[in-house]
Amino acid sequence: MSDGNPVRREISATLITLSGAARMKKSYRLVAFLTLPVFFGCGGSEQTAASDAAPTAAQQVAAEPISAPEIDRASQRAAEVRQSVLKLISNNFGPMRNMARKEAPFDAPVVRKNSLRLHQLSLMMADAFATDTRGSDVVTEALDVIWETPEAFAGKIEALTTAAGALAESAASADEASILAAVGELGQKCGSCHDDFRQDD
Amino acid sequence: MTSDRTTERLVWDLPLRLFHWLLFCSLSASWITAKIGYDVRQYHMWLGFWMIGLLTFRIVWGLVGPRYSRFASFFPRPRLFIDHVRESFRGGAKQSVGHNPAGGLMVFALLILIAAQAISGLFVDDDIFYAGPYASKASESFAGIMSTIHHNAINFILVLVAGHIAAVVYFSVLRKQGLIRAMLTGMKSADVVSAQEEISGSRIWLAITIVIVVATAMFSLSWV
Ligand code: HEC
Ligand code: HEM
Ligand code: HEM
Repeated sequence: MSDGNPVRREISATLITLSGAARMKKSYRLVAFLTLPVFFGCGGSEQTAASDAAPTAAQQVAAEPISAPEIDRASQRAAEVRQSVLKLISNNFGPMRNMARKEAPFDAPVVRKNSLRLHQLSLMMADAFATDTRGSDVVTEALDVIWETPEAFAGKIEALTTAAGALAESAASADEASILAAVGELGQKCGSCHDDFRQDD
Repeated sequence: MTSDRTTERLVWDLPLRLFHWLLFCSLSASWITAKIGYDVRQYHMWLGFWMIGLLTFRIVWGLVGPRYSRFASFFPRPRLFIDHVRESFRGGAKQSVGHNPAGGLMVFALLILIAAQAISGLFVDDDIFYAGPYASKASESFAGIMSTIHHNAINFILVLVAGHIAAVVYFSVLRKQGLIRAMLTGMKSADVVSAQEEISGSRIWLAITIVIVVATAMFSLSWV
């Protein structure tokens, strides 16, 4: 892409502005779009919701460099990698979830195998999240606080590692009830990290 | 109810009042449990099922309940709404017996949005343990839409609830119409409600029958 032509530069800046508005947080866009007609003429708090949304888009656009293809490609890859790790985590957690919810028969060897894999996968998470993608336009549910409070995030990863290890051990020896309890413990580690670090819309 | 029948007349039946305050408590609890997150998600889902039952009761009650509980009695009509707003600005809107034309619109908006919130919950999945009973039965794209609704409708609900509370406090405190008191006791002043306009009773046995039918139907879905 050549940036010599001022007209073309103008057009691409406009397109970036428009796409900035399109990326505005989904919920704000919905609030902004729907509240006004519902509420016309009544004034009050709904106006705040709408005007909150406007600066969000504006700030995002202002912070955006006009063209930075390298950064975006790196962010794109980083997001793909970490999402792949989480897909594998989810895929290996799935059978245990089904056992715990009594949707599949209990199978201790599967629990042991999959929890060992989860243990390994959890050790990849720190690297998978090393690239800070704040401010980039990648499609992600990763919240900025991951890179704002790295120690807290590392603590959540460690909790997952520990719980997966404990489950692998208990699957080798313990009875069904305590293995399933350990599966519940493990799920709690997923949930407590998602509560703080994963966007939910 | 120990109130003076000559100065006060019954407008809001007991089942409607119970519905209202249970809705208030349950919606608050659903929202708080949602915000706390994973650790109380099981309670969040139980509360959600309960609210679906509550709303189902309200829909049936809107068809067969006493006069001012019926949807037909406060169905939003643009003409009435515009007249009402215009008169309000002139400072002379007549006090309504049931919901006023603007309030009726608010009631519909609230009930529809809360129903959308609760029904969409049946299709969401947290990727860990908890999922609505139909999450795995729906197509991915439909479940995606439901998830978007579940995570966003709540924002509108909170805005509407804020507007609703502001409005009833305004009319009760500044305009001294006693709306909040009426939602607690069921009674409005005889200056506002003529003898023919008063409802004759709360139809308690009808309400109990509906509750039993709704509860049976809900349990037969075996969501919990
Ligand atoms: C240390 C924090 C953390 C832990 C622990 C964690 N997750 Fe996540 N998870 C995330 C983040 C952050 C994302 C969003 C990643 C993104 O979109 O870039 C995510 C995304 C996901 C996704 C969506 C992946 C996709 O993009 O398709 C699934 C599924 C998932 N997690 C399941 C789990 C399960 C199951 C566990 C527990 C065994 C778990 N996670 C543990 C932080 C965590
Ligand atoms: C009117 C009642 C309900 C309200 C107000 C409500 C509200 C919410 C909100 C605000 C969230 C997002 C929480 C967050 O910020 O992380 C949420 C998540 C959730 N709700 Fe509800 N909900 C209701 C009913 C239900 C029902 C009936 C179910 C299904 C049984 C349900 C299941 C869930 C689940 C599983 C999640 C987690 C989803 C995820 O992580 O993506 N909810 N709810
Ligand atoms: C979660 C919060 C709340 C919700 C979802 C809610 C919902 C509703 C609904 C649906 C109605 C219509 C009743 C019907 O016909 O079904 C209503 C009426 C009413 N509510 Fe609430 N409510 C909430 C909180 C409150 C609070 C805190 C108050 C008191 C301060 C209140 C006072 C009233 C009054 C006075 C009416 C009657 C309005 C009228 O006269 O038209 N509500 N509310």
